[in-house]
Amino acid sequence: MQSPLLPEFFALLGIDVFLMLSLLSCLLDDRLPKAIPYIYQIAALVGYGHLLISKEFFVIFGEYMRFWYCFLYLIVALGNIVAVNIYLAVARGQWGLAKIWSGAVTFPTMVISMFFISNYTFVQEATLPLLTLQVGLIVSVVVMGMSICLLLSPEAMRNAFRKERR
Amino acid sequence: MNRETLSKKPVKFLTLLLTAMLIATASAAVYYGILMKPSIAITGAKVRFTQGDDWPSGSQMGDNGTFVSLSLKAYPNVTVYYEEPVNITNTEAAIHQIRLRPVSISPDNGNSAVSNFTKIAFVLVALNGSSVQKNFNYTTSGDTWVKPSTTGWMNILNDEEFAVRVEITTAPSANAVSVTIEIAVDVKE
Repeated sequence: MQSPLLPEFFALLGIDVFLMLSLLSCLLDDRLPKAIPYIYQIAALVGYGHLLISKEFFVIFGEYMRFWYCFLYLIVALGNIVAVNIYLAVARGQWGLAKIWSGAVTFPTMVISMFFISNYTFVQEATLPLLTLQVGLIVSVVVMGMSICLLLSPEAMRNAFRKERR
Repeated sequence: MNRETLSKKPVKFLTLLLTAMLIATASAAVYYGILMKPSIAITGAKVRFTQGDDWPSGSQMGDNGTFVSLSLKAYPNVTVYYEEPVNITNTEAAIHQIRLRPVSISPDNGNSAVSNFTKIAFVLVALNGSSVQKNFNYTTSGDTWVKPSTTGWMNILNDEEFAVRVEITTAPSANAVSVTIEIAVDVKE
């Protein structure tokens, strides 16, 4: 049965992620660079252009191509969430805020994204070599879980850094 | 944090919020537009009619094998068998399902010509000679047809061919009458 989701749904999800990042970074403007909210708004606008191109060349672009460029856009958006999380934790040293961010933003967004990706027919029917996409998703979940654990217990990370310095 | 910063932040946030809502709404509208833009490609029928070894003269095969008109003969008090007038062929390397569905018959019930026929049976036969279905029979009771009901779905395997065998039995006192039967072959993708 054909999935009701189109590949462009991932681009739409990416746009929403960028917009959410824009608003959250505006609220945290004293902790993040001032230009960040506007950069994310532009990134969302790029995604909108992305959707327009997809609509115009719907027949020419195959589903395979549409899926991959929309998926890539979503990955970039999710990467930015993780990047902000790491920036708050490492560069700013604000562990409390980083913990809240990972619990309230990073983790739910990742889970929602993975839910839609795994429910997408193309992924379910994909016969990629060694199930690259599925393995990639599992690796991402493992890395994310470990990152959350480290963020929740910053002492372990600090101790690790101290050992390296010695 | 001074008063100027405090007054600027809500304005900045409100501006970003409005822009975000605009972008999100426009994006959702474009996505909805794509969702409502179906692409329809016309391709040849995967399951089609093909001429059988006993293709009756005067019969017509429609374009692309999606329609066939068979011209069959019958004789009084004789049962005539057409072993393979037409075939139903799955041309694709995938299993499909088919069924036979009665559409119309003429002359219909109440016409005295109906009683000239006793039985007209359509049997689907696989290549190995086994009957795939044998219950698609038109029989008569006086001037009334006892029509078959739509068959169940039958699997037709990759590149498989079913012969449509026709069996016509007429009454001993049958006159020069003809009957036109329209049957649909439904195909499930």
